[in-house]
Amino acid sequence: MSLAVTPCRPRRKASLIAVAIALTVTASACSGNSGDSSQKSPGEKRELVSTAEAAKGKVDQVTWNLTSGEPDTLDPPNAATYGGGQVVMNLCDTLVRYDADYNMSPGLADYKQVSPTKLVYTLRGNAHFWDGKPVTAEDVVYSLERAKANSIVSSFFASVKSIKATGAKEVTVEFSTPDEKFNTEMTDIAGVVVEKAFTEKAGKDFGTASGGLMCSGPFKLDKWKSGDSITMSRNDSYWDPKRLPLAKNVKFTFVTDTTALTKALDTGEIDGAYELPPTAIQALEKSAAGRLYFGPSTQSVALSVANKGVLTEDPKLAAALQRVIDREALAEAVYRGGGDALYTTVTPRTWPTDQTAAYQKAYQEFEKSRSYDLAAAKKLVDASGYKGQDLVLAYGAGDPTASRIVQLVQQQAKQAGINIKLQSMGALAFQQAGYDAGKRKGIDLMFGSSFNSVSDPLEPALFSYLPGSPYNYTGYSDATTGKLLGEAVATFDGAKRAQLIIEAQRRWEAANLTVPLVATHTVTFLNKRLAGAVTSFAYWSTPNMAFIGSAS
Amino acid sequence: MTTLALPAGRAARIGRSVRRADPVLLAAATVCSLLVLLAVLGPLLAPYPPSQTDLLAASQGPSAEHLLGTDSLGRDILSRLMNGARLSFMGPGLIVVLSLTLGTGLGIVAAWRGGIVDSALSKVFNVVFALPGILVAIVAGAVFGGGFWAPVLALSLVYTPYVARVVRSAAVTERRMAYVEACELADMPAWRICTHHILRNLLPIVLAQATISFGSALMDFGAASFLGVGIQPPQAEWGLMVSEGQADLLDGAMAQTLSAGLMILISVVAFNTLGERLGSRAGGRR
Repeated sequence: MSLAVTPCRPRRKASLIAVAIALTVTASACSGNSGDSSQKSPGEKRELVSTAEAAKGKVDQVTWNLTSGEPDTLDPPNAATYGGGQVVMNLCDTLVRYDADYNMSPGLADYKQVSPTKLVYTLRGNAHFWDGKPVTAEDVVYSLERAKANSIVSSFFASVKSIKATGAKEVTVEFSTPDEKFNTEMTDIAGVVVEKAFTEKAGKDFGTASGGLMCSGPFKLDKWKSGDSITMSRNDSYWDPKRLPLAKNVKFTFVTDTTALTKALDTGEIDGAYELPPTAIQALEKSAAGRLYFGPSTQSVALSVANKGVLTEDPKLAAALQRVIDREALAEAVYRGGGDALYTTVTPRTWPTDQTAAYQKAYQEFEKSRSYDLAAAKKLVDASGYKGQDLVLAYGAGDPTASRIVQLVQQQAKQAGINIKLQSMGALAFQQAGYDAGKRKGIDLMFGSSFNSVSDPLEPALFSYLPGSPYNYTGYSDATTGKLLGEAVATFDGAKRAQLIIEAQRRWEAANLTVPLVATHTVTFLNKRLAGAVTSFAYWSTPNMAFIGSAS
Repeated sequence: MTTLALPAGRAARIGRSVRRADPVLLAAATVCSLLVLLAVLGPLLAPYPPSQTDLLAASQGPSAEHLLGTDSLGRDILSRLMNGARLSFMGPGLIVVLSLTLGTGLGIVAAWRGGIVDSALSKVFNVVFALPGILVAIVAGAVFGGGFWAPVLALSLVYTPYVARVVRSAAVTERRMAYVEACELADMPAWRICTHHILRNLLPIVLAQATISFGSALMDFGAASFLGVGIQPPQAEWGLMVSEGQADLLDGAMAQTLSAGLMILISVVAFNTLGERLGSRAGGRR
């Protein structure tokens, strides 16, 4: 007797997939050569530019991709994502503004620090919302109170005692203690002014695809087609002729797949994008469709100690971890020149431009004491109480750059006798672990990226090194650090403030709660028909699309 | 000179056997044997440790030191391919063993008991049939975390009805055979009839099904790793290698994706072919 095997679904599926792989493989084999053909010599530093060549004329349409994907909201004080902030800054005005080099100047309002605890904003008389209504002091008070009450940036208002309209065009902010950084934070989403009437009417829908928003920025929101695009058009009655957009219409797309995005940029289907991943660099450097720019940025990637445990209890082990990582090689191999080795939590671009020398001097100490030295790392491990147990390093699944970095860290740590166990986490779980201690249970180190919205070291410091601050995962509490940071917040003299922050930095860095890895550049692609783009990370704090126009 | 001569009858039998031999079956069996050998000996023969990084030698093309070149972390692709064979085969192997054990048992029980038991089991199988294997593996990976066991257990569950259905239909036929009736008349316990007689007669079909399932399981297990819910870095596994090499395709460095993809392709085709050919020749002895 003979029995035939019943054909079953897996077999058919397997055959189909096998054929698909064969086709893919064949196509790949015909598409190019293997090997490294970077246009940058190994070890050579990238030239960093804050802006592309100036635009020479107007254009009808610009299609720009949001590399991190569709924003979850455009509600200004909650639009803290890469894409959300970028779009909002084109639609809305801030009280104070940055340029591409992080130079601060009055935005929607002139400002005057009347006393250490009193700041007065005087609104421009010619600023109007898109619906023609003037921007009033009442709108400003409403917007700031709203950001203070319940938003991602609420902590920026911690020392604010009152926000009052003291005239038709005047708003006075009073502080319980002096706060030097408040005005600087008014350059980002915390300082955005929205129309009170519209916002109240929209309610919970404000800032969503269905609710829209009402601002006074250089572009007007036309349509947010969920899952597809956000389109905006030039606000022809914009109050500032210097920032009147050169592009008539801008369409934001949400392509997140690196290969698809690279092809779309290379064919000109999409005109440009910020924050391109390292894997796209070589291909886009060779593109004839446009040019790749590398700009200074406040962004970085680092390992954060996720819990109290062996790394907080054994300072020598934590110090060994700092020395065993070859950051230079890591920046070169993984970021392909799209970043520089980083030795402190605060990235160099976060230093205020007028105090660079003081911060640089302090930075060099860390550069020296944390540079790659395997022998020193081994000595530290030997002298520590480490017994070879696994240190769990968590990272987000599906991110090839993160995967490469943690694997390299694991291999390098192994050379010094430190055993690292990698744990990939789903996107949502990893995101939750960033703010939920319960989700971080059992994890020793977390790989993550971060950015600062302003060039002020106090921003990352206050987020990480004060008791109860959101990124203080280990419960770090040092009275002197707290005192120094408190004094720095209340010090308006730049040089004195820098010294206080540098001293505080010595203390918090001595705890080794962060293993800084790479300060990443802003990588921008711009089609050759266009010019004028901001190419530093300041794009996130400026109406970035307003400067883009025709290259000819 | 001495001449060795075979007896006439034996030579004729060998001649007939060679003439009847299926060359496709032989080729598939040879390739499968070589692949299994690679899985067993690969890690011992690989020139470099699979996770050994060398940033100074990252993304290099083929050379005398690295026959298939290196990946973006400077790891030897050939070594990862050879080491990866073990996990790439161990996962599907376990899936097949688990699903065959469970599926064969359930299939024989359904055929032996018939009636409501058969009907109930068939309905359960139909429900599981509706679940795409890779989707179940993704959910398992999301809930229990990526790694080896989540996709293995999830895919074993999904593969069970396929085995059970095939075994059941064959066992129903066996159930009606005279030798089963004879065993029952001899008061042989049901479990003994099932395990010592029916199962024994179903072995060829079970083995053929196992070979086919192995090819499918290899593809699904690799897909789970490719999607990040299976084997995790820095371990070497072919599906994971296809995924890790994907980021280098834009740079034209496709050795990793290409070689791992080819290994999956060859394995799936070889095991599917072997299973089909074995299935068509499967018969029972009783």
